[in-house]
Order: sequence, then structure tokens, then C-alpha cells
Amino acid sequence: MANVEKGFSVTLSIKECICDDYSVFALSLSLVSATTKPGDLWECSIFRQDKTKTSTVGVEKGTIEITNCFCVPHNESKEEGYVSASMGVPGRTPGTMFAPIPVEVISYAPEVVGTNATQKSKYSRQRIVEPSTDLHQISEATQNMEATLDALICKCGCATYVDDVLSGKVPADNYIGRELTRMVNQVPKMSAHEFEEMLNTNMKDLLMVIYLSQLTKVNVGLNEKLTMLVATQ
Amino acid sequence: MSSGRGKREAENGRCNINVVQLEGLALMKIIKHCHEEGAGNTEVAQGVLLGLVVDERLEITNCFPFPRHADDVDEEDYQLEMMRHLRKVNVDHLSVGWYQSTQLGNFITTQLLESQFSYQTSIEESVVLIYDPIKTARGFLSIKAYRLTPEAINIVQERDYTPEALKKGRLGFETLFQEIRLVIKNSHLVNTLLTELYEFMPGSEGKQFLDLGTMSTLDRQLRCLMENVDDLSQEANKFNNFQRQNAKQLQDKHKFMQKRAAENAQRQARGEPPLPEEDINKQFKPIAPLPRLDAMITSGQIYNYCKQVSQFCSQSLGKLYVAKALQQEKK
Repeated sequence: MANVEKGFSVTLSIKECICDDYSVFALSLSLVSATTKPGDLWECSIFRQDKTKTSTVGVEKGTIEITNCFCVPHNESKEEGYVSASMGVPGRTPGTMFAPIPVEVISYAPEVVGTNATQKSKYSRQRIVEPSTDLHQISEATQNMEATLDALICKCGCATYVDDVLSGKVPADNYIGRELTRMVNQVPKMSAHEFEEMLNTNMKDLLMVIYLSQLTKVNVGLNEKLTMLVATQ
Repeated sequence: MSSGRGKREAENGRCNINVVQLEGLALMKIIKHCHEEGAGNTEVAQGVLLGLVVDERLEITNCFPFPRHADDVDEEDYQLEMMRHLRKVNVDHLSVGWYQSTQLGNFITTQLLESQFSYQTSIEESVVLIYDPIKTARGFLSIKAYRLTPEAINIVQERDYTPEALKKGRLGFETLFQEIRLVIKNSHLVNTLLTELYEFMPGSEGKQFLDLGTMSTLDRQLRCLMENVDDLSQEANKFNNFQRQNAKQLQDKHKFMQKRAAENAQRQARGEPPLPEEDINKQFKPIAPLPRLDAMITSGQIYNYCKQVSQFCSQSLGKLYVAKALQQEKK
């Protein structure tokens, strides 16, 4: 329809989406756009006007950032109440009209962590996941990294790719070449000696801090026992 | 934060909560609220947890935040209103505790003690969830559930924090709160949504905990630790003063009694009636024993900080070793 020529792209941040009868998860919506009157035509009520963001691919006007929604009791059927990811934004027509909108999900840091932590519940039988300790998380992440590096180097034949291009066997793809150089350049250039030194000083700092914190713990415990002993003589 | 309504009949004997089960939805709501509320303030973001108790599990299915700066909103009314509305939309509306945000673990305060006490006396099974947004932003989800130990409840009830009472109640800073295991559980529906979201989510953002830079967090944590240690040393000084005063008073008492006895002996020798026995206690007023609450709280706080610092250092060391291994591979 003519009124929806200016498409809107909707960026969802993961917060809250509550469906009629049961809460689904946290997808939250807040309407941003300065052009339309946000919120009137929505089924869930929206609050919060944020600054307009720059447009994304192929879109003229602003993006809509959705941060909050809650469900309103009404008697309609489940299907209508359900807010799905690929929802539409009503245009400026007086009646409501839903057009599909490209949706992109963004979220800020703590949420990502939270969602990642809850992701694991997919795999467990009882759908339970327990937050793991820091060290455990690091080891898991290193394993993941190892696996991805493995996949990159061995399976995709990264190492051989460069040789092939040099010897002319495979046509050079600029994009891949650029990505590869970018990846290699990200490793900071340091002599082995400098690196060792930096590593060692950091390690020493951390060990010292650990030692001090253990000392403080013991000290505090001792303090309490002693005062208790002395005070109740 | 007393909840006057909903006084459940307290079960006879202790209630045993072994595990707290948190829904993904509640977790995300807490994260979102603390993120939007906090951002640099020193004030904490608080809210109420809703759910049910099943056997030994406390299931938290939903939560809602408390308004922060609205002093004209009566807290209890707000809570009641909110619950009424939630009941209409078929959400669990039974309060089972509350949550609070913290900054790098500085949550052990007298207010927390009092609040949790009032919650726990009115609702037997309530817990307090402590969520650390700063640590989570660095990549490690940090949310813990605490309850007051029964010993702590007894002591707080009496409001008697003298050393004798504490010794009798066997209360130390380590036995103030007990941490309860927390698990996150999602329904099947949520899991399907999660699989969908997984496609959407930017893959590179969740990796910031692999960052090798440790100094800024460590710096802050150590600063907080130092402040608390200073507080504790002040408390120790107060205690020492009290001891000294006590000792001096005891000495004075002894001296007085000796003088009295000597005088009495003299008088008897001369055949005069002995001086009336004055009430010594009125002359030497006993000094009130020092309440140990602040010291205990500060000790508990320091202990917590130390634990966190150790954890932080251990994972940083792990990261350094990984970097070292990679470097050696390069060679």
C-alpha cells in the first residue's frame, strides 16, 4: 500500500514478550520512530520513546527499537494475542494493516550473557541448567574456540588456500583475502621476550592478589574468634 | 519492606529449601531492570519475586520491579495492585522473596539483614536473589540466592547483638546467610524460542569474558575491599577501647573495695560500726557491652569480597595460561 512505502525495520532487543496465557520469554519492545504515532495501534501497550536510530539496509526512515511489552487481558484467541518475532507495524492508515517487516535482534551485554546461560537448558533433559563457575566457563569457551579454529584451519583448508592462490591454482577472492589479513593483523605484534615479560608480570600480580585476599580472609576469621573469646570471658 | 498481607501459616519446624529454581523469564526481567536502573548509580534496584514452593524447591516464575524514585507511591499498595493485576492475566502472584542488584558484591548490609528478616518472618520460604550487573556485563552470569540461617533469625528477633548473645546463638559472620543452589529452568516453549533466537543473536558479543585485561575490575574490587578493611579496623579500635575501659573500671572497683575493707577493719578495731555497704554498682556503672552487629556485617562483607577476588584471579590466571599456550604454539 502507498502509505507503507517507507519501510520500517524493527530491531528487537531481547527483553520481554508475554503471550496471552503463558509467558514465552523476554523479548521487549519499545517504539522509537519519530514519524508514526507509536503505540496507538499496537495491541500491547508500549512506553518509552528513544532516540531514532539511523536506518538500516534499504530503509529510509528510522528504526523501531522495541523494549517492553506486557500482556493485556482480553478475550481473544491465542493466535491473535501472540506476538511473534516477525510482526508487522501498522502503517499510517486509519485501519490496522500488518505488513511483514525485516527484524533484527540486538541486545546489550548482560542480556547476552543471560541468554547464553539459559541456552544450555535446551540440551538438558529436565530443561535445567545451573550457572557454572567462572573457571569452568573459561575452559568451555577455550574448547569452543579450539573447535572453531580447528574447523577453520583444517577443514576449510585455510592453510592450503593461501598456497593455492599464490601458485595460481585457485582464483583469488578479495573478500576472503581481506578477512584473512584482518585476522592475522589482530594478533598484537610483540617479540617473544616482551610477551613473556607481560605474561609473567600479570601472573605475579594476580598471585599476589590471591595471596592477600586469602590472608585477609584468615585475618577476619581470627579477629572474630578472638573478640568473641575476649568479650565473653 | 514488610508484607503485611499474606501471612501464611508458618509450618511447624524449619522449612527446607534446597534448591531455588528460576525461570528464564524472571532472570531476563531481573537483568533488564537492573541494567536500566543501575548504570552508574550507587542505588540498588529492587523488586519482588513471585512463584511457588514445591517440595524442597522454590520455583520462581516471575518478578516485578519496585519503583525507585517514587516516594509518593506507597510500597505496599503498589505491591498489592501489581499482584492483583498479575492474577488477572494468569501469572503466579504469590510472593516468595525479593531481589536486589549489587555492585561487585557489596550487598551485605544491615538493611539487607532487616529486609530479609521481615520477609522471612512473614513468608517462611522467602529468599533474596542478588544479581551483579557489573560482573555479568564482563561475561560471567552472577546471580545467587540467599536466606538467613535460623540462628541469625533468632538473634535478629531479639535485637541483641552483644557478644554473649552471639556466642550463645553460635552466630558468626559466616553463618549469617546461607547460599542456596540456584538452577535455571525453562519450559519447552521457551526452549523453542531460544533456538530461534540463537540464529538471530549476534554471535560475537558474548565473548567479552575472554578479555585479558584485568586491571580495572581488580582495581575496583580491591578499593572496595580496602574501604571495608578500614571500617573493620575502626570497629576493632572501638572494641579495644571498650575492653580498656572495662579493665580500668574493674581495677577501680577492686581498689574501692579494698579501701572499703581496710576502712571497715580499722573501724572494727576501733569499735565503731562499719560503714554501710553502698551499692558498688551504682557508683561504678557497668559499661554497656558493645553490640557486634556492624563488625559482623563488615567481616561478612570482607569475606565476600575476598571470595570474589579469588574467583576473579583464578579465571584471569586461566586466561593467561591459555594465552601463553597459544603463544608457544606460534613459536
